[in-house]
Amino acid sequence: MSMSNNKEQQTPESLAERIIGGDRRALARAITLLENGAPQANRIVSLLHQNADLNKARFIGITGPPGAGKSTLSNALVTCLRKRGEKAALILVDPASPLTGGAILGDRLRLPGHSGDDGVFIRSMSNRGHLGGLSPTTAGVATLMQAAGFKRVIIETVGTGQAETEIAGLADTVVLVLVPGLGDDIQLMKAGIMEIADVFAVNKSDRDGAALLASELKMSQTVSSSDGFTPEVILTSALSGDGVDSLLDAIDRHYAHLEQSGLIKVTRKKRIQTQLNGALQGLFRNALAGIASEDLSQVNCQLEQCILDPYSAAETLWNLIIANGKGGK
Amino acid sequence: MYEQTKLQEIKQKTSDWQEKSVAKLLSKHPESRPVFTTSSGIEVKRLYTPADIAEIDYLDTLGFPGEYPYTRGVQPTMYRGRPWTMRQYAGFASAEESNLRFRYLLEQGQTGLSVAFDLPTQIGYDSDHPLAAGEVGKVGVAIDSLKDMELLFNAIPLDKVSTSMTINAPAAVLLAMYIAVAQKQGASVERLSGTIQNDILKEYVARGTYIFPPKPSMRLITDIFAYCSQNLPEWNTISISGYHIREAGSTAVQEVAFTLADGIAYVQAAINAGLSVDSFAPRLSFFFNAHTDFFEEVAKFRAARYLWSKIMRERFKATNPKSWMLRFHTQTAGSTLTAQQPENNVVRVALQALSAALGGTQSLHTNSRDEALALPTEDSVRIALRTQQIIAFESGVTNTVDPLAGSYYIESLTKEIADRAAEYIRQIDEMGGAPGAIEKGFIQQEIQDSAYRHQKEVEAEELVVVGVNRFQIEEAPPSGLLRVDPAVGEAQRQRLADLRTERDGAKVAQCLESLRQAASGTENLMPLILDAVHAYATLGEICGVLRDVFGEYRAPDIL
Amino acid sequence: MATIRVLIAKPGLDGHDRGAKVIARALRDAGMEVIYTGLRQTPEQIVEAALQEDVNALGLSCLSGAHNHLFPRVVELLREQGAADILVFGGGVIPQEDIPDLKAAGVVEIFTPGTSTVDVVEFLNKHVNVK
Repeated sequence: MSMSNNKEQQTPESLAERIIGGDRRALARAITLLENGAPQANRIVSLLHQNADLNKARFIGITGPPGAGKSTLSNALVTCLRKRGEKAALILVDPASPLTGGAILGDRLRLPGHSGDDGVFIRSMSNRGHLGGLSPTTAGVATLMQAAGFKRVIIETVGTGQAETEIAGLADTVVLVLVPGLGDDIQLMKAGIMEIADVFAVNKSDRDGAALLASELKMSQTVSSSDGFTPEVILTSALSGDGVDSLLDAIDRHYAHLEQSGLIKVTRKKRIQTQLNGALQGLFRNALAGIASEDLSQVNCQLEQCILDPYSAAETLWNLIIANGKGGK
Repeated sequence: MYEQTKLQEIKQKTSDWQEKSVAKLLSKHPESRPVFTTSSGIEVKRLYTPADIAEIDYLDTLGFPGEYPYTRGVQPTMYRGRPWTMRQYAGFASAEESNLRFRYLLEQGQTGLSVAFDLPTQIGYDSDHPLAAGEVGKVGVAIDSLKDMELLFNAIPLDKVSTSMTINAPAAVLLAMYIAVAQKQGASVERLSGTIQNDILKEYVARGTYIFPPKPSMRLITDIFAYCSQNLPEWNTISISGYHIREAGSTAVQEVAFTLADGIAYVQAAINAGLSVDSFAPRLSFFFNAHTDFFEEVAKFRAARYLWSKIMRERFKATNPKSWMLRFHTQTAGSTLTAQQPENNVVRVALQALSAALGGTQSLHTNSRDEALALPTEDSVRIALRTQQIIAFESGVTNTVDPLAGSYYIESLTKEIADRAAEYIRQIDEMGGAPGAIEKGFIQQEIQDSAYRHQKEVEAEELVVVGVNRFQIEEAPPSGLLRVDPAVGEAQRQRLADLRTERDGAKVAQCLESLRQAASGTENLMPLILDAVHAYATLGEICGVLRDVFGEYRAPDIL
Repeated sequence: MATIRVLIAKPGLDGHDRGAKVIARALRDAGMEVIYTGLRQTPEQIVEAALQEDVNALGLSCLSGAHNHLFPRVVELLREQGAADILVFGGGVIPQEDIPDLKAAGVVEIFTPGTSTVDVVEFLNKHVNVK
């Protein structure tokens, strides 16, 4: 019952090769390794950087408050991309329980209709307690997907309505999904999320107030277009599929603007930084996990008894990490 | 109900009693739990006295049976005239086999038929559809066309029995088939009596056999209301069901609240479709669960009747007293049956059935002891039927109307349930009624939270389930369970294949095309469905046309 | 850092998902990551989701009596895809006498009504090795 059904297929080299060849099982497994901070994962990613063209894929971020219909809209975008003959991968991030670390990843059930289609790959991820709307490994996972030949990677954030601005550092185009009548507009503005939107999707467009919300958004955008680009506002109905084609066109127009203006370089730099942050955090988590449990409990014990203050305790742990590193582990 | 001075005295003596007798005993023998509650979390006091019902105005809240607000029952004499209708939900595998079971039950003294359909039928797929693989005939009878319906009711005169059909999304099609069989028998259609469940809203939140999105689903329902008010005046056009909401894990209060909220949505939809409330409301019926907390269940039924009469009279301004009455069918709680020591289920069912009788049900299904294991055997079904016969004919509880009325506990619980349910309904109204609350996931979330809480309480042994978390024994695996013959699916597919070659294909195509056009418009679809059924168009074909036009519902599942 | 990932699926047409959802929550509360697929999934859809999500275990819930057809089909498809390492377990109204055949077909455990969620959690912790 162990997970290693075939050891030799699990080496970073063979996994990387299979991923580039479009092997879905290898992709799925590598994502797990990355999520779990397995030592092979970094090696796989760097092999992919050496051997695959990782600059062509477009990352599309989908964010917005709960109940806006992000999953249904992401699904409709995938359907639309498939009709245009493009392969698409989808990452769905859901929150982990702060108490147990467990998570119910329920977005997948809103995504019917791609069964048996090799041009679609969907993966649910827990944010594993990370704030900001993504998980620490989302950027890496998106990289794996593009190495497997997915030229479009759609990334749906957790969607708590909080400050989920991290997606801006990863996606080329961020779509902010809103619906009329939720009353979160003000909350969102406070959270600064309006500023990261490259395209607005006013979803559930058959509802009262959709047109009004769209025109309010348009009004607010005329003021704040700093880089010479005014985000478009598109009315969509993810359920019926109305407006989804237009949304995809608007996403592409934004991308074209990035290329023409040269801003794409900035976007890619940000993406690299996001990946670097994720990788560093992963290493740090592993390093922390690598501290011997007796050492850890000793520090904790001293903390509880106020022999150590939190800052000195951190220093002690840090020194242990460094010592481990020198030990050649 | 008491004079003020008398009440004061009762209150004083109650507190004396608490301080002396109770306190003295508690110091030696504490109670088994710090707090006692019903399934709905209503705190149950140590003792109820007249002081607990002092606020209740008898004439206003209780009144008389057969009169507004119907708290004490919908008929003046209740079971003194005749007991409730004993109706066992049944339907097995093939139409022929089900027909034999029906005739057996009628011979055994059952007074109404109840049809269970298999899942492909409930979801509008023919038996040869890929998604039907493994499901044909499993939880009920497979009906693909009028031909199957003719076999199902062979030699049963439809104008002499009352038939309840547990069918929702494709209810219009099955009702049309029933009418067609009656027409072929030469029975008079206006005398047909029975019920179709036809309650799509609870499918979205609790039972899962939906097909179409809410809007066209509501249209099909109001089409049925309109058609039946003209042509089948004796037919119960909907059975607004709390049963499945409760099975999905809700509390008693939630069962009342969400069911009545669904009822409100149907009434509003029909009014919006141009029907006058008194033209259809007398044919609305309800379906509740009889669960384990005995007194809470009795109070629940009474509270539901009270609330509905107020809603219909005050909110919808119905003037026909029949529109104010909440008539209901009850089934004992399937989810309380245990696979462990299944004989114990007979006792559970008896208590639950008794609560339904004391709550004034119009008809009752008692579950069979082996249903947590498999489909019930004939022996088990007979014991279940005998259970209600013993209650009806031996126990004496039918001799007077609403015998628990006036109990301080029951009346106070009835009021508490009504108040709490009314508060839920107010909240749901604010979300745009039941459809809005379902879209938001509110109702689903409430039910699932209750279900999870219940499971945790059982696992923590805060709730005792005899034979499951206490009083367990080593048991031999049960034997003699009913199995569905896998050949049934094959035979059903063969019959369907034969039908497709025998019938007039051009006629079928023409009927389906007319239906398609009508579905895109606004006319009543019932006559067109009836035509298609007569031409032997299949259920899957008819629902397929409607799927094309209406689309399919996708659940915004809430976890 | 490895977390047990479990797919909870409802194959077939039955809409009774109380058990599936209660189990999903209980596994979440035990620190696992649970992917829930919703109602009316074909064995093909379930297996595809299990592969993409790279789950350690796959729980099937069926109350309609179609388990003898659906559960073995899921196991068979997993084997065809080279994913026999995914642990398959099931639950629902399943007669005792069906259990040996289901186990022979590769379903590792069957949980019948009355099962404590604690037992399911223990079962997964015991049988799934995520290291």
